[in-house]
Amino acid sequence: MTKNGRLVLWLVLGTVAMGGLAFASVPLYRVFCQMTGFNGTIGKAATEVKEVETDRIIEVRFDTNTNGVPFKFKVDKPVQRTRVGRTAMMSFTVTNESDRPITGRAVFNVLPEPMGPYFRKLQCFCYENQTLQPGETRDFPMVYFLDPELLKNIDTRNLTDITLSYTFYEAKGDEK
Amino acid sequence: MATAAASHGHDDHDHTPGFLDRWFFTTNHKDIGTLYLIFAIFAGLVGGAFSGFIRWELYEPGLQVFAKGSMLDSLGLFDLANPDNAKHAFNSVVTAHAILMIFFMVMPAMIGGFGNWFVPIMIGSPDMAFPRLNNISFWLLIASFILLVVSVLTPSGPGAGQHGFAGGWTMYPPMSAHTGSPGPAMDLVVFSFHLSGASSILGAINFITTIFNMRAPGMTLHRMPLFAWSVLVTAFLLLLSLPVFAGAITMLLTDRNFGTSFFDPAGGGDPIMYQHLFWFFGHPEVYILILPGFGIISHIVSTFSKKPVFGYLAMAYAMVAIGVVGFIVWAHHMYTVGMSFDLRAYFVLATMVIAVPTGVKIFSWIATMWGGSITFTVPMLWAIGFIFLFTVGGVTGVVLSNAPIDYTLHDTYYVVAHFHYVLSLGAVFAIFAGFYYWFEKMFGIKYNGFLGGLHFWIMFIGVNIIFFPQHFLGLQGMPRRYVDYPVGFTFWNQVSSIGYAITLVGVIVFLIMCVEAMIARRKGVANPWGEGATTLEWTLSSPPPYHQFSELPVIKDEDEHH
Repeated sequence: MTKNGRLVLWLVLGTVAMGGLAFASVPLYRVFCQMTGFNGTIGKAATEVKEVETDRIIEVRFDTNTNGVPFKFKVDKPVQRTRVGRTAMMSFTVTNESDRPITGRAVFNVLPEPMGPYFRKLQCFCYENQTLQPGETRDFPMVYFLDPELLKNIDTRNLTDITLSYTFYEAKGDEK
Repeated sequence: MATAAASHGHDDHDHTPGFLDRWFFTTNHKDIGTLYLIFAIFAGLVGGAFSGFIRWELYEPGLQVFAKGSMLDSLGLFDLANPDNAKHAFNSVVTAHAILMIFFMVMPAMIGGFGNWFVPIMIGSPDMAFPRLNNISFWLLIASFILLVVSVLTPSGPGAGQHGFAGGWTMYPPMSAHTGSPGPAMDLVVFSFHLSGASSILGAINFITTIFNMRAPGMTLHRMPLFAWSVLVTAFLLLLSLPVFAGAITMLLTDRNFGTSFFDPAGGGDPIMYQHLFWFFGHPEVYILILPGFGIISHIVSTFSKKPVFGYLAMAYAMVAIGVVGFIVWAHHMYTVGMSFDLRAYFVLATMVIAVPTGVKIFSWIATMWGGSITFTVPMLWAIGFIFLFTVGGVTGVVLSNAPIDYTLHDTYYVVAHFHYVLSLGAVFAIFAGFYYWFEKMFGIKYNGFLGGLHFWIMFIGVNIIFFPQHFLGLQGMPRRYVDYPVGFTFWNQVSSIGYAITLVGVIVFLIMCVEAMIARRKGVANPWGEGATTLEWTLSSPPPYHQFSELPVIKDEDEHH
């Protein structure tokens, strides 16, 4: 192989590698967000949780939206005062207002984003697709707690309120 | 053009091919360089006309130009009867202005034009390593340009009669997703970028191979002229950043057309990830635009100070450092997405670090001039203008690098003023500096010094009047990419638009300068700049022979040719 040919081979490999990196970043970014709670990704807690109650109370606000899906999506109480470290529960109600069965999926996000890793869910309807028959109304409980570790983080220790936002979309094809 | 006729006058064994072979199928690096320069001037005029519509519209609050019955309406390009569509048209003009200027004016002029012309000559090589690849690079860019122009006239939506993608050159989803732009215009933009990306990657491979493998005997990397260094660093930036961009827009394309959800939250994707991928490319891209300019300015300052450039190795490695650090600062474009404190602190710090190698370059240029025997020729005027304006843009860049300040200034005219100071005034002044510096060398004719000087002074005054008031508008909170503004912003917007009119006169003087030189045909000499011009291109005739260095030059003296 000529000198030029060898160099070009390396350069083409570099190009392909960087292009591959762009696509590899999709799963990497997802893993990164789940591990660090980056971008408001919420942590999923193990079922065995040791409750460490603290005396800090944080207002948790719940926000419900739908996007392109004929669901009525409501939360029982828009604001819940939650003690950090204690398990809490909130109930959501979804009604399928159309005349066909619809599979929806709720996507969630927490603001401010650094709170993501400390918002621990024990049970949530958002982990799988939900199929509702025409006119059906269903209640979904969501069980969570605020990880006391948040009191040690410079970004989160002074927060007095956080917002958890859900958006229902119509589910697309096969899911992760 | 000029070269075609002029090279017949030479006594060497050159015989140039016929018109079609020479200008369409050419593999000669100098001819391809000339083609790139002509194309860049053309695209610059189109992009400049687009910015004219923007400034004309913003001369007064309310809708004037993007409205029914205006001069723009009589062109019939956009549906301006419906005010919503008129506003869309404004944003698609803003988007097209950015894309044209970045990808079809600055990049072709600096890398394709001057890079092709002078990198092989400066390193003592007869041509590029892959001359045919060079030809493909150029014509891919033309195809890409056509796709982009067609996209401006193609339905985009979301409403009926809204033509051209209007989401800005950054193309964030959901603006660029099916939701924001259901029409085919965005798909055409993606294809256009695929082609221009392929063109640039092939060009980058060509430059790197040429510079690594085809230097003349004795031309070590540490003796290589700084312009060749700057193109080498730029080529690496292109090679490593463009594939990521190509990946990101391909994901956009499949999200739009094939039901994937890379950036669609409904399917578990994340639109913020697009911003990360885009700016991983986008930040190196802005260095791609300016680095060759750094190289050009080093040559000019050294030539007209009649001194070797101060701190040659520091200058070369400062560019390498800027290139490397440029890959790890991307999120300073997106402080407002809500990153954690630590992450913002990192990106603030990394961004400010870039001011160090950039400062090395600025101070080395000044040190080169210090104690030199300076002649204020036209290229030197442009070079000094560049140093001044680029420094102003650099200072506002350091201001913006602070995340807390950026929170309020994000997407305001302060940002617009900042990046036009470093690009519209920095990169474009470097291009004009190079154009005047090498005009006689490339075309074998002399330009009229009075017209060149007039061009400089009108442009210098004009662009400052356009962009300096935009700092004030930004600090007062005027957001960018808006067709209209509250009455309180009127004064500085009017000043800015008057500045555009002055700059337009400058551009006309530039065109007159080109035509005058072509008509007068004052015969150029091999080295019009005297003892300060030491790089290899000045050892050749003007214009250089069609094929140079059939006998390779041997570089002995360490300081002679850079």
